[in-house]
Amino acid sequence: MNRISCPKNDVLSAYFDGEIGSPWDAAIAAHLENCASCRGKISAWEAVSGRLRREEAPELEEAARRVRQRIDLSIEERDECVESASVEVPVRRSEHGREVERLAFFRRQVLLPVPVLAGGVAAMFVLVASLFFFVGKNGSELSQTRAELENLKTIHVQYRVQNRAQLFGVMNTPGFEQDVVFELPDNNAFNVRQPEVIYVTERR
Amino acid sequence: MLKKGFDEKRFNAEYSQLFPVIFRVAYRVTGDVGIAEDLCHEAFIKYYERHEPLPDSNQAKYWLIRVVKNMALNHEKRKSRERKALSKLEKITPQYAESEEKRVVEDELKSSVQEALNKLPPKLRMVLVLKEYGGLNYREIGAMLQISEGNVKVRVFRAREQLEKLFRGK
Ligand SMILES: [Zn+2]
Repeated sequence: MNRISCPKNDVLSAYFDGEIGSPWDAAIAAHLENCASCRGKISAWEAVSGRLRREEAPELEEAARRVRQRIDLSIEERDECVESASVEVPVRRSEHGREVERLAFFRRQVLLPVPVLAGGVAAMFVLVASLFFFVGKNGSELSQTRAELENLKTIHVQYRVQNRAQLFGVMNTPGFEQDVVFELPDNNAFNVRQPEVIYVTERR
Repeated sequence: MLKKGFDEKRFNAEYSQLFPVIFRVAYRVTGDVGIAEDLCHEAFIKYYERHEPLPDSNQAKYWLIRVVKNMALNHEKRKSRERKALSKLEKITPQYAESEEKRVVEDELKSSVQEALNKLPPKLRMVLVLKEYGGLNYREIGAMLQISEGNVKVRVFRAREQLEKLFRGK
């Protein structure tokens, strides 16, 4: 009986992942007994997988706690909003079809009105300096939500930023207006150690 | 206060079981703890907002990973736009520009595993992360990324091959 020839590399890799069904898996297993070269490939992949899995993602436990806290806050905030703001406040779909439900910023807002860009570098200095407390957390999703409240005749565009890079990103969005309201989290705001989410609200 | 009919106990159990998996996927794809946390936060909120909980934790896992995957791809697109915006602003306020030195130090802090993953082409990285950290099989990965199982097989293999070279280069 002839030895079957070496399986293609991607097939061998699929075998390693348990993705090859019967009877081919048995044939490959038999082949492996006699082929040091294929065994070598598999052990190299085992080493790669092992290395990937051995190293835990950094800050896993802390992240689990932090995210859980944020979830609770978001849920609370949203539920309060739904209560206080339902019926009278029409919740519209944004341009991107995303429904805007989080309206908490209407109740606790305006902490730091700063004329951005218009005031030039001086204003920027204040801005950047104040934001420096929040640098440290690198990047986050910039969630742009847009709530259009007809009865208030205002359009608020809310941006969630966590550091200056994101803030700058927002300010560079085409059409961004010049008056900005920073909304700081109302739970122990300027905590240097633990950067919080800042809301930047554009008012038109 | 919780949504009517929301089973908090169940949510807690699912959270502690699934967070590590979802976080690993989010982190390994984006290479950034802060971003990974944001993605997980949004994904779990979306899960919470679902009207019906999913029947078992494996389906919940698949659902959450899919949400994280979509957001990670969107994030990737936005990042390049933000980078441009930032460099524009750093020209106005050069005193706050991040120094090249600092960036280098930050890079060095990244583990060799993450560094190697970051070097993979995004398509290969995504498939391998879903396989190794998400624990998904080829069929699930194919369905999630809308590619064929054969394509998944090839990408997993290529990703492995490239990683092996990168690790060996150390
Ligand atoms: Zn062979």
